[in-house]
Amino acid sequence: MIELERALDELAERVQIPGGDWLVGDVLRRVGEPVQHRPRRRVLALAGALVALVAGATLALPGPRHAVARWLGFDSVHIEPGGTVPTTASPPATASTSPTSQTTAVATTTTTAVPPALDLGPDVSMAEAMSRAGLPDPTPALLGRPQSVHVVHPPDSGQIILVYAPSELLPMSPVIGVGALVSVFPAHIEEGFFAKALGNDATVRSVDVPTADGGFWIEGAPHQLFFDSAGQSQLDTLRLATNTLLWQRGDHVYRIEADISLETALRIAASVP
Amino acid sequence: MTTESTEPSDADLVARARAGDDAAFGALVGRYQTAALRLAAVISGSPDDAADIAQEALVKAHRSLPKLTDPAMVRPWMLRIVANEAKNHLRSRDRRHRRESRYGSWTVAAMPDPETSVLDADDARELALALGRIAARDRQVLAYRYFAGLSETETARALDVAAGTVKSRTARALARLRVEMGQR
Repeated sequence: MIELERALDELAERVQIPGGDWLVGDVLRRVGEPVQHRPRRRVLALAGALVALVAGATLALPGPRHAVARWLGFDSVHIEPGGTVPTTASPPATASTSPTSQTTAVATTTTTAVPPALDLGPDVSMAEAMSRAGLPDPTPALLGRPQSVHVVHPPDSGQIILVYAPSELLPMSPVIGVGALVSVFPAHIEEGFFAKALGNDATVRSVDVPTADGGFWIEGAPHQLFFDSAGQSQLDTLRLATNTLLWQRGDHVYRIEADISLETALRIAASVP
Repeated sequence: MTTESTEPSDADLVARARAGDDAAFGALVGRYQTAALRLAAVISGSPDDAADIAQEALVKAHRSLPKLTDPAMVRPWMLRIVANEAKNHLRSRDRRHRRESRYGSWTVAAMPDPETSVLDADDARELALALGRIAARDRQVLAYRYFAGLSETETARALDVAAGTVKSRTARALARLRVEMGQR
């Protein structure tokens, strides 16, 4: 005769419940739907500000699809599908050979003005970016020196974003004149936050990234990032509707956004010092 | 960078969620999703429907946040909404899905450790079927205590009864479940 209470505990542990992994995201997506009936002032204010900055962009309101097992309460990264990007807000740029290309960069890198639709702010030196954000240099040796370097927010402390023009390695992204964005920010990835999106083609899967503590490959649909700091959550501007590789190294998350294969993304990631 | 990790309390998350921070509500859902799913599964009898039931209930919980009187007790409050949704779901589907077929179709993971596990596959099936045969009132208290992992105090809050009542109801429900198991 089995011990009944232990048996109940064990049955609860072992019963298989399909679809539960995406519960948090499913709930929040629905919570975010009737916005017109229940406006969330802070998010709407932020959305308004971003819309003002990003001409033609449509900002998706929060609906993160994540199945979180626990809440860290600081600097967590969530991914949410949906939204649109400032696709052709920038006119086609005239390609020219970059005077700053390094020998380690792939061939035929072109230089363009940074599309204003990306809302990246002024181009700064890498030294200044590292100093201001307190972050390491995320430059992948495989890509070489970027077209421009920016410090943007969120998070409050800033993230460094490198802009790369299209090249043989980096196809044109939906934002004309841009091949890839490489960024680093202080955060921690919580695996449970990632989910395959219902209703669109976004997929997320865990991948091994050399020299990293863990990584994720997001394919097939635009997404946004949430930065949750002690008492606030913020929308990050949706910049490219491309595949994305995210990987954790220590207290930092690195990100490559580009229309590239996972294999290429992993090669690029492996070249980040 | 300061990496001190201080997890916010349930009450903090409730306050943030009430102020419009959906991520905070997501954190609450994340904390209690396992309990919610298991609760929905055992009360409805259908693990396949548990995710839908829990989702529906938690959306309702979000809308009802202003009615929550004790933010520190958000867990039993949310799970009570899940339990009610599961009961409603059960009523709506009962005609089409016989109880025995629901509880008899549970899939359980393999025994994690044959040395310490108390349930083989047959036992698991019999126990699920027995849960389906006892009264809903008995099943509910067992669901809160053993599937959702609520304490007696939390179960009392979820059932809106005194803590002592939970103890006696649990004992009674276990006895009835034992009888159901013994008859098989």
